[in-house]
Amino acid sequence: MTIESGAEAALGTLPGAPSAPARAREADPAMPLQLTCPNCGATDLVMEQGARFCEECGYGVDEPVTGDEEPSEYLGPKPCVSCGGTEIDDEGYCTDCGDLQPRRRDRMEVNLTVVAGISDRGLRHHRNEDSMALRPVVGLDGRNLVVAVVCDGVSTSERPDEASAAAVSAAAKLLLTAIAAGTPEPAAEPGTAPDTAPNPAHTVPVETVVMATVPNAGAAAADAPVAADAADAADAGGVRPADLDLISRYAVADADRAVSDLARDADHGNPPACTYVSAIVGEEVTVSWLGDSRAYWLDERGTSRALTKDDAEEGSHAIEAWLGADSGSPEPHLARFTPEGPGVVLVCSDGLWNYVEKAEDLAALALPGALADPFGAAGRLVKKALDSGGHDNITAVLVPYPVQASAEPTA
Amino acid sequence: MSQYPDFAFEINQNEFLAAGAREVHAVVTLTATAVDAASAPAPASYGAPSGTENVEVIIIDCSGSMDYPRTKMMAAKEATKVAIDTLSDGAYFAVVAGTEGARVVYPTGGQLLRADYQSRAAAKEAVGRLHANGGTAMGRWLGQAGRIFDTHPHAIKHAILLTDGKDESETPADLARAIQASIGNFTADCRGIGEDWEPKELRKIADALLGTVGIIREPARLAEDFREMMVNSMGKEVADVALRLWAPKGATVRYVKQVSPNLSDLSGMRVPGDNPLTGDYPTGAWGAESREYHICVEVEPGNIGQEKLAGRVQLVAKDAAGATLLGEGKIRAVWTEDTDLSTRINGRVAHYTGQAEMAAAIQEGLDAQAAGDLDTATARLGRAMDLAVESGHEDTVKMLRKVTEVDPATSKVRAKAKVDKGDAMELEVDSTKTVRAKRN
Repeated sequence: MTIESGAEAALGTLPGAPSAPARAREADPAMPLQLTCPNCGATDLVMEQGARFCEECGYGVDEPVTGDEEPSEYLGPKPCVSCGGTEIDDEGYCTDCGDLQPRRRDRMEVNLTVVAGISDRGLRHHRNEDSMALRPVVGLDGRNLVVAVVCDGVSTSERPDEASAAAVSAAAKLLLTAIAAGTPEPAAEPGTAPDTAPNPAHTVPVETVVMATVPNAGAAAADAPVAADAADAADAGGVRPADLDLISRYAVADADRAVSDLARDADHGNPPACTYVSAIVGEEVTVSWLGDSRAYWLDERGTSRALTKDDAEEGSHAIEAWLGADSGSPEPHLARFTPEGPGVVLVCSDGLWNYVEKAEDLAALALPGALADPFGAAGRLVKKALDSGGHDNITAVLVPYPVQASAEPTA
Repeated sequence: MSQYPDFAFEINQNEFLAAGAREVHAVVTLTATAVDAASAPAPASYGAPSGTENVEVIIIDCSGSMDYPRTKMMAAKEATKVAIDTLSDGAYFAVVAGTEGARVVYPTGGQLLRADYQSRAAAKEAVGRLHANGGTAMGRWLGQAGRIFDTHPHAIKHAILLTDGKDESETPADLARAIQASIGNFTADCRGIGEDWEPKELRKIADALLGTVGIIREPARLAEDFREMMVNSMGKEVADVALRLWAPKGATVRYVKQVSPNLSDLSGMRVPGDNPLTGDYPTGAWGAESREYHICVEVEPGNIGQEKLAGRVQLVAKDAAGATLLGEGKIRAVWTEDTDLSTRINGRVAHYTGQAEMAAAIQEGLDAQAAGDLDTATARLGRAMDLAVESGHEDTVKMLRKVTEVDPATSKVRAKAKVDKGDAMELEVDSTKTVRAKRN
């Protein structure tokens, strides 16, 4: 594997560090991640607890990255996607080959090394109604986690692109803030927030077929602090690492509210709506979803599998749960499991899995490259969907597991 | 400095192309509205409106044949006097007598004078003394006009050329060289009187110098025709306007044609621009008028869903400042699998494609008829008749009827074996006039 061999080669040269190769193989979840700044391209952006801004450009590092940001003044104009020409006119046409450049939302790309995603308009739709938000974050216990959220706007609703964009931002913001702060506090005021003392029926994650296939799931859930403990700890002045199940549910509630806020009287009974899937990848993987956007676990040991189960009739695209003003404040499905070895978590919209649905097929496309280069692998997955017809918007976010610092260690 | 007319700029096209299609068509409609007199700077005592300067040269064929019949020379003198009276006050002008040489009959002092009571009277007197005697060398006439215009390089420069015969006193190469030297210097409208001149010869001059060709079958109608040309010329407010076309790398500009009010292929007149992808097509001087251009660009096909800029069209006035942008628009190409979209034909593009085909059918049909190839003539003139009827081109239908007859056996149109020469010339000259496309 590239990561291991790279790490061994690099670490092996360090005198008096005989245990380094072993350390690299067993990921150190607390080793600070080093990222490339999505704004200025600085390569020494260190994700440490309390890190708020890129030292080079002042870019806020606690904000989720969506690929829909204003183009950075640091990175210069993008070359023409068709001919590589360097001049694009004010209307978006290449001054060399004349090709209209994709609008920002047509092709959103984020590469943070420890997580990467691509969201593409596809070939048939006039706009990209999918959105994604991703970013690593340092938990209260100093461990690295990665948050990835994908939402797919419901095409029959009004302004589905705005719905998915609002949902991923709201959810990712809540997850990142809550993980960093270590408290499961919702961002909204208590009156409109979901019950702070959750309905007992919902304290247990929704059991799914997926869960039943994961032998460690029960043990992992038992290890995690339950909501009441966390609340008690906060009250007592001690703050514990966030309860990932609970904050996943709060994130959905926040996203649902953000999408509902987009509704207008003129929507004719079709207020903005979207699906939802999030993954929090640390030592274990916590997923949460509504609708038919999915999360998969992909590895090379033959244990690749879907982590979600669609809210839709088998073979149907009529989803039964979504976010939005007419959603009825749905409770998300929750699942978590602890992988047994290296692999990658894929979070995606149906524009991808419509063409490649089986986990082992997705794994064959993504791996082994995805472990060291999730961005390249996301590109392969999206290209596969485009080459197969690209009938829908395509979004693929990949999180290599274990989450760890890059193979090139820093001093 | 001078003010430019307002230009309304409109592009009509169907931007949707089927997968693999390469040809993109568009019709550009340009409508200039006269500069508001109130907002124009106050004219100098003799200045033309809005600070522009007009120079007009009237070239009258004085070859011996103009006296056979005498009505031609009489009509030419009368029409020239009417034209002189129609000049705007303050416009510079000259009259050239064309034979195997070219003599400036007014002004005689070597320096152009502005039109006023005195200069008009003197010029008309000089015109009255014209007499027919000599040959025909239109290339030298154009050369003389060019030397006159050179004394006022920044003016709006226009010539009227009247002839009754063929260019016999010089070689075709002499004429071609003279035409080439005149391009970009001045524009010219050409008129043939009688039936002994060659429409194709005048067409060469008029096309190159961005003007029109007209046939005067009745000498009595010449004066009114000259008056109209002069009114038109005096109405020009901007001298040198070009269509600037950018086309993407790898594209081929198939053609740029003026299609209204008359057909004129500008493709061969491209002047390369600063950028290798850009070229200028001259359109001459503009007054308050409307013209349309059909542009066809062949591009590399894009993927389904891809949009490409197949052309950026700008209208620019060439002036002391280099070029002033008067208007611009885009020719787009979007590839789609939706055949409802890609098979739609834009009404304007279809209309002018038909008009161009009609003109070609008339010219080919007349050539075949003159050569005695009646089968080809029948096929081409029949097609022209269909297109003329379809597009409501009533004058052309009338003229086509004169060179064709209905075959009693088949009740179909067929080319006449023998046609009146004037009828054929009239039809040929008329063939490039187009009917304006209806508003979509």
